[in-house]
Amino acid sequence: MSEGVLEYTRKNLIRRRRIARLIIFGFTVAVLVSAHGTGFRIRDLYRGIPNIIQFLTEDLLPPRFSVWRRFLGPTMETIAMSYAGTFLSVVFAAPLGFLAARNVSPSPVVMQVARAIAVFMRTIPPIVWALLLVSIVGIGPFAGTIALGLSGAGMLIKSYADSIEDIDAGQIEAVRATGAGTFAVMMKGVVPQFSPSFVSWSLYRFDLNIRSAAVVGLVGAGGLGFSLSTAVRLFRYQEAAVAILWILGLILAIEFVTAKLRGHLI
Amino acid sequence: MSVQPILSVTELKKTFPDGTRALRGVSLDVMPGEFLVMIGSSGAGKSTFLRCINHLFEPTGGRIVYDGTDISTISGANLRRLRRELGMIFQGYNLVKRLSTIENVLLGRLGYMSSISGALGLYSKQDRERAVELLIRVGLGEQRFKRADQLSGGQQQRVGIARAIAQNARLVLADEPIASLDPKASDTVMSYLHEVTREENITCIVNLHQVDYAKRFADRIIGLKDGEITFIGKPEEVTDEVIRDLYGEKGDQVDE
Repeated sequence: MSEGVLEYTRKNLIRRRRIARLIIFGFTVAVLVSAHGTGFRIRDLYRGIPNIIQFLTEDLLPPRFSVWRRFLGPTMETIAMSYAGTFLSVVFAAPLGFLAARNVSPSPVVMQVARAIAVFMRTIPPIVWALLLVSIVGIGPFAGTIALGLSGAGMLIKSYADSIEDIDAGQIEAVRATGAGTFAVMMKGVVPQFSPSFVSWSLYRFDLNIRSAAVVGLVGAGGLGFSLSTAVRLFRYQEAAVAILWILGLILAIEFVTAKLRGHLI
Repeated sequence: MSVQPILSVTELKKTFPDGTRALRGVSLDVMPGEFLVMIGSSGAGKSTFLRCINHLFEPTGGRIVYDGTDISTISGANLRRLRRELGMIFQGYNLVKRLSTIENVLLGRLGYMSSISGALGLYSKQDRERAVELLIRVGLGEQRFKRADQLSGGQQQRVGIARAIAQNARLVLADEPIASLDPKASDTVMSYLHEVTREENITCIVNLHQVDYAKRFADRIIGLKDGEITFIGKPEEVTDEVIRDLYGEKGDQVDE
């Protein structure tokens, strides 16, 4: 009997080793194939090092700090875009979040539809939304704001719905048992429990929007990203460096502020 | 008897989707003003029985008549009107924790308000004054601006009582109101529940598994076992034999 176990586990071990070897082989082949497909060569990277150094030291650095004032407007625009985009997302996602939450949704069909809308909006990255919207409403922060609003709404619907599903059913049941109407049950039984995560997720979305705002700007949707891409296109790399520093500073500052706010509000 | 029962339940059955037969035909008349205590071990169906009356669970068979009206299949606006007359008190208190104590009492008024004004919290001045009175009555007048989750368990349950009374409930359904409380808080909560419902002439059905409390407060005791009533009688008729039958052979299961 014990020999049977030994034999069985031995075979099992051999089988697992064979599978591990196959996986490692598979990964290696995949790396080689994709390197070939993208024209990636270690040799070129190596030979490019002087160019990289030259670019960094002569073209990009030192940043031309004298132009820092030029990015003040675009920075404000980025903040405004992020804020307005977050507002759009929240307004759109709040009702859909309720519909998408299993425990409060009026029907399974409504829930699935709301979840499908969320998946659709979330799967398309902000920069793709921005590309489409720039063609529709033209270059500028308006396109960027809507792009951020749409992609953010997708994420928020899901986050809101998941948070609502986590709340205490007993408190909802108690409000329902008083004979309260459906809307009153939502506002008095669900909303007070949901509000901390609502604030937390919305602030987090604002935080993410600052980063995304820089990216959507690259395709012409306004803000710091647009200034950055303009500077690069005009080969003014030392000005681009200032724009990059602005973006970095802005992201850190907003992250700090939202973290503080979250700590205070919850 | 010339007085009509306030609640008359006939052959009430509840089978859950997973096949659990929680109630297998429960028949019971409750008289106005009665303080009825239902005892039985966990899983006997006590909680299911209460939840079928106010349709937090839909019964799967039988008839429920409340105040002369058949409410077995009630729904929509009629159900809302029924629920506001049935106060419910929960084992876990189920106060909305992030709302103030006073607002938790005011939630008892939602059944009398439109859904919109309820959602916006537009309680009338009269309702607010009544809520303060009720909190004073359960000894929590000073606590009214505290958030509900800052109160102790016993205090929260007293707010639960005030919420049920604020509904102008005619029948209070109390589901294990003291199961999560220490003996001292249990005493206070049961005393308040008994006293306030006696003063307001409110009928009360209380689920308990502590037999001693049942004997102390009940007008009548119902024993429930495996979804069926196995005992109905006065507190003094609850003998050791009855208790053994309800809770199994081991006496130590009585106050689990």
